[in-house]
Amino acid sequence: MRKLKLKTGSLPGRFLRAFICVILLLSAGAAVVYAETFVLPSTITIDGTFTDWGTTGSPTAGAYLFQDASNTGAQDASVAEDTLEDLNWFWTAVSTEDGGDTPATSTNLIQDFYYRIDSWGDSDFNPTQSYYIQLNCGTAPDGYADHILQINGYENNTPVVTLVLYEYETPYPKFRAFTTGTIVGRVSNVALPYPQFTGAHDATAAGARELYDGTHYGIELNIPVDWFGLTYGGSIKNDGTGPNLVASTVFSSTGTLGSVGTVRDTLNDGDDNTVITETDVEDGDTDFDDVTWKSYDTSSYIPPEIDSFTDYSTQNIVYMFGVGFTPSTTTTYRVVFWDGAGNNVEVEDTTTDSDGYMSAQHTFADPDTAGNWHCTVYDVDDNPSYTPTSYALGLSEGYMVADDTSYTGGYAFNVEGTAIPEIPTVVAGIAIAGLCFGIYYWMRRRRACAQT
Amino acid sequence: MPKLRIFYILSLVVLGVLVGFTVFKPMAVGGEYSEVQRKQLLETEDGWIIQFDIINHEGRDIDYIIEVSVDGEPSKITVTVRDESMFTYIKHIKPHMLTEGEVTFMVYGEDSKVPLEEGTYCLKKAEFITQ
Repeated sequence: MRKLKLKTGSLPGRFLRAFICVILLLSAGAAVVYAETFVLPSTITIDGTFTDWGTTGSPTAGAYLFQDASNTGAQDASVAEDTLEDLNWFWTAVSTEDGGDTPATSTNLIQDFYYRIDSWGDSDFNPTQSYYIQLNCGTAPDGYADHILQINGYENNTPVVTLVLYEYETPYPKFRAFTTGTIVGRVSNVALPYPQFTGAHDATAAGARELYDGTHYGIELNIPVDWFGLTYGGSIKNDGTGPNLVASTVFSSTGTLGSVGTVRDTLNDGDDNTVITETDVEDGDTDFDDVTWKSYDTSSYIPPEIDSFTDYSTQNIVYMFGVGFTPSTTTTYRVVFWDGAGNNVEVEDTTTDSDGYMSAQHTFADPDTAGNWHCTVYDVDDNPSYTPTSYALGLSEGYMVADDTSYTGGYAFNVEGTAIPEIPTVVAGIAIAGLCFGIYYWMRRRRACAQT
Repeated sequence: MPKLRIFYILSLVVLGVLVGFTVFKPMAVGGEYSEVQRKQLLETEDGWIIQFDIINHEGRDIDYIIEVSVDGEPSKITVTVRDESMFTYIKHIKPHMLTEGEVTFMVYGEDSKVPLEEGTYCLKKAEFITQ
């Protein structure tokens, strides 16, 4: 689900801005259509003019945006308002050769990822002001970061905007554990962004900073898809055949080039939860979620998410994994698996870890029904006996907190009969015994024939 | 030899009938009943998992009530299991949820006061104190 949230604050000016935004959104709401689509390589130019992104009320087709809604969430410092470190809007887009809703293929390659960060700052930049996009490029398990992109804008630098893509060394840090992890600079748009840099120089990535609304500063940039690919430790492929999501979290920091520094402001929703952006490289769509809940066929949760279970030998168990749940010290969440016939085939009462990460699993077995499955999560803290009698009722009864709808039709995943052991052990035993008897009889007959 | 052939053919017929019976499950008509199977306590790196299956052979959909108590902290849920279907219940228990370490569970069929299954586990919290 895509969400637009308004930033809140204590100053009258902030309320006025929020009020104006509400009016603008309400007035434009009916006209806002978020088609799942790519932009053309020519749609967004990195020149400091932001009009090609559209407006917040009516973004350009293929541009997706989210407004930071809080300065009070976890790992969200109470930054000075109206400063460069104070996040306002975050924008993303992905370009393909053909643009539009044509899927990325070998004949319609992904070109660039575009990002734009609008701050509340109305004064010039300083050398220690950076923005970070913490990335999962398909190499680390779901919920963990394998790369981080640093965006630094300072007028005394040439070019003004410096971009550095760092790769995290293992163990990969969790999303939102922003200041942990060891990073190595892999590629930059300048030759030597900091003295110790040993990575590559690729000036096809570029950034620009200007006033985006006549008062406040923003930065727009493009990152070639190759930066997220094998060359620099990622797994994203330009033909769309790699992991289908690039997940990220966004924050501002005091870090200078070559370091991350102290987190100042994160991209949060109205409930103070850190927003995870997920860009689908198959159709260009970007979702902004505070909770993710996905299916895999291994317990390592390495992307891509698996939505089709067909092979009993390798896909007999579905592993669910999610990020962004409220860390709990008691049994809080109830996970329910609904099979292809709508039956509640498993309930798992479980807890999160200390960072709000949660997992569950189900082993396919007779009499599970093949077809399209749901897997939902309910917060039962206030009603420990709650279990919906059907998936549909669970949607409306107010306890659902996560629902994997990534498969066609809003389902979690599809299970073929070939992933379910439909032949019971007794049948298999009888069949084998019969086969043995047949072979024995055949051999005896051959022996009898030979003797005669 | 003809006798052996007859025996062979009869064996195949019996085998086919048995296979057919098992596939279409007419052998399960020995009464309408519910059962709890695969009851197990699993020990993991960071706690325990109680798991069991409820299988419904009642000839109709049944609501089952599952009551679990972790050191006196009750948890009760009701689940609907379709006829001739199986339902799996899993409960994760972390060390911080325990004081004495006594965990009990009971499974009731709807309108039944007699537990279909019940059990008690004594879990030792000390084993899971981290370094």
